Amino acid sequence: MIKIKKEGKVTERQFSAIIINTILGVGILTLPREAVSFADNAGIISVILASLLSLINLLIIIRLGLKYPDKTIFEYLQILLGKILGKIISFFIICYWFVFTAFVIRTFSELIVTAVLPKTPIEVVIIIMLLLVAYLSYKDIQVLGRVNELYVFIVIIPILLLTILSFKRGHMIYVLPVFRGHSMVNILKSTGRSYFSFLGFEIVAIILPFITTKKLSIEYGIKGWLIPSILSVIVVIASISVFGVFELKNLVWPTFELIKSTQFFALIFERLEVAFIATWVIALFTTASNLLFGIAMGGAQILNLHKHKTLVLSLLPLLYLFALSPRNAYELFNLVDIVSIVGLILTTILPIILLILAEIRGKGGKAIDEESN
Amino acid sequence: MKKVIKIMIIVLLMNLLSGCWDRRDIEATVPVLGVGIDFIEEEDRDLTKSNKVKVTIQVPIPANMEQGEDVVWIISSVGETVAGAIDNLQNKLNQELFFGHLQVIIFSQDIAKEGINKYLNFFRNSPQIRRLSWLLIAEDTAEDIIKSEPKLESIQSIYLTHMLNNGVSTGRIPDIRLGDFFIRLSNPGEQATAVMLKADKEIIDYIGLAVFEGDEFVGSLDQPETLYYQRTLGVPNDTSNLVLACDPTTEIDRLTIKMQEVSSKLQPELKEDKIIMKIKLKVEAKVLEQLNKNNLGREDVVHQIERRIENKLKREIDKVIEKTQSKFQTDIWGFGEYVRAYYPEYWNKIKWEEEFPKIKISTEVKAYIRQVGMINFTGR
Repeated sequence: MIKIKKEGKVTERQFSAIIINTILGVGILTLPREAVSFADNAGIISVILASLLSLINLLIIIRLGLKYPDKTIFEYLQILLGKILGKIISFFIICYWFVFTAFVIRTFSELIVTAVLPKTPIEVVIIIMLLLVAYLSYKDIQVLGRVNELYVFIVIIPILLLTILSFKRGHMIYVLPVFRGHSMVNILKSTGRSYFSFLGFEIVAIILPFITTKKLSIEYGIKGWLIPSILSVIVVIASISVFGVFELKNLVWPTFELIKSTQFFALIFERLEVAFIATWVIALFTTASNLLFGIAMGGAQILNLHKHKTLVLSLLPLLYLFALSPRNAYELFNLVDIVSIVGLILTTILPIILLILAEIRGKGGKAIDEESN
Repeated sequence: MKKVIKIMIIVLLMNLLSGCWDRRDIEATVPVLGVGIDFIEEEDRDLTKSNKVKVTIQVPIPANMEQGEDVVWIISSVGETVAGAIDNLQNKLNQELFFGHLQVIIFSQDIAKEGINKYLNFFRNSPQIRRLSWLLIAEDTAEDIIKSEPKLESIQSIYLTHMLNNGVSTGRIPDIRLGDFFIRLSNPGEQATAVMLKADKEIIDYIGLAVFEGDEFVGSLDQPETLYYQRTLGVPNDTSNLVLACDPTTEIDRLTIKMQEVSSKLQPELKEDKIIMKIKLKVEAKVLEQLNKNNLGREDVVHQIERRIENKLKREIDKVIEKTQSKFQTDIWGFGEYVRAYYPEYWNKIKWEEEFPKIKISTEVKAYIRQVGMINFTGR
């Protein structure tokens, strides 16, 4: 039997792929450094904690979304909090996504410019990337789903392969001691920093109404969370075992350096980092387009526009300016830290509050639900 | 009208997409294969502290490749920093220097004595340079090594990398490259080491291991010592052999042994706030040569030989450890990393540099003879 795909829908597999691709962005490129920044060897625990936290938040958002099965977060925010407050919070979420997208693009461009194309002006890299991102965001949701489904393996397999190969030069003694001799405070601080690389899963709040079989959304949501989490943990362990904690703190792009020091089949495959960058463009492109789609969608919904397409192109110049605003990589990383703290607060606290509100409302006033249906 | 716009867009895109800022033809680059860094010879360098460095680079000449002679060009330049000297080099060249194929970076012993970190910064910061390049210390000047003329290969740097790679795969030369050197510089529980070389006209000689304290060169282990250093860390050996001297107590004369499989286990133990480092070494050996006709089919003879291997290895390893503990006082073994891994609470309390010379190290060697050769002396 041929599965009929409805207009404007995404399948469960595509749903997983969207989560995976949105999570895998620039975060993992700096994750090993962020993980060990405070916690030293316990960075592995920090990453696992961060990923578990993101799982909990993801499940809460899906639970919440299932209460309003055909509404995006921007629509049920207005139901739950009232028109004005809902719009304010929606606007806040959009702003956060907007800055997040801009910095994601900037971070990756920064890597390209420092590592691969030193003479190319960063503006050009950003503009080309933005045009590509906008091209996908301009399309409908099912196109977005298909593109994500297509690219998910192209993104995962190279990094997984290269990371596993890099274990060859690793020393397991560098990984220890994981559990002893670290203060809890430092582990939690590192968790906060590592959480940045798991951000992006909140895109489900937009995608959920379009999924074909809603019952399976939790199962496929977990699947979508699992792959980036395992990948992150492997990358962190590999980086620590190859570089050791103290060298890792000196590296601006630890994952990139990890791949740079990998060499296999003796001397035939040198310079794998360029191939890696080429595939990672896709990871970045999907992250940014998914988020830009979310932004345009949300913007359209709070401004009562009919189509999200109206906003995509008009947002591009603003995105460009935001992406260019940090002066250098250090300022960028400081700003990214701030964005990740905002993201941590936003994705942890807001969904819980909303879920509690929805439970209360759900008991008291079912009428609202029916009415809105 | 629409068609015109479309054509215009295509023409514009052709302009934008065809070019690439970083496009560089292979003819338009000068690939640097080896870099040597020396102090310049000034009489009163210590007085003025000018610390000017001389950078010598080696670039291939593609035009001469076919004739097979004069394949490389060696030029050098002086500057106050490494980057400055390389900049001065650039002034002398028609094309741009490219460091992506850099194989070896050689520092002279003098520079290493003064602290190598500030001169390494350039190599660390540049994205072109790979962490798998070799960092080498020249006993004399780096220039000598770059200028030496080995017979088998026309490009010295390639000769050197082949020599080093073979040394690593056979277990003679420690696998410590630029990246490993950086890691050892950063890690508090181990000290940096680098391969040391000496050049003499045609011959480039591997003479041992340079020992660092922090980033300052403090001394070196010679070649046999490095061999035992390697075995202690569990690197198997393919080429170098262990010669056991004549032993008057038994009837066994000199023997040559090859250590085929080596596995080592390093285990620190904390007793009454003192670290005892336990090294357990298991060696599987092969008898290559014996000067008298012992019957290796007899079990007691084999056992005797095994005991002798054990004693010899233990004695030599202890000597090398003693040397690093008392003479250099630097932990090139990475014992500190083991202490940090197994006793993190203890590690947080101590300063490893002060502790290392005082720790007790016990070595335990177990040898097994697996192969005895093809001759069987049962006749007599």
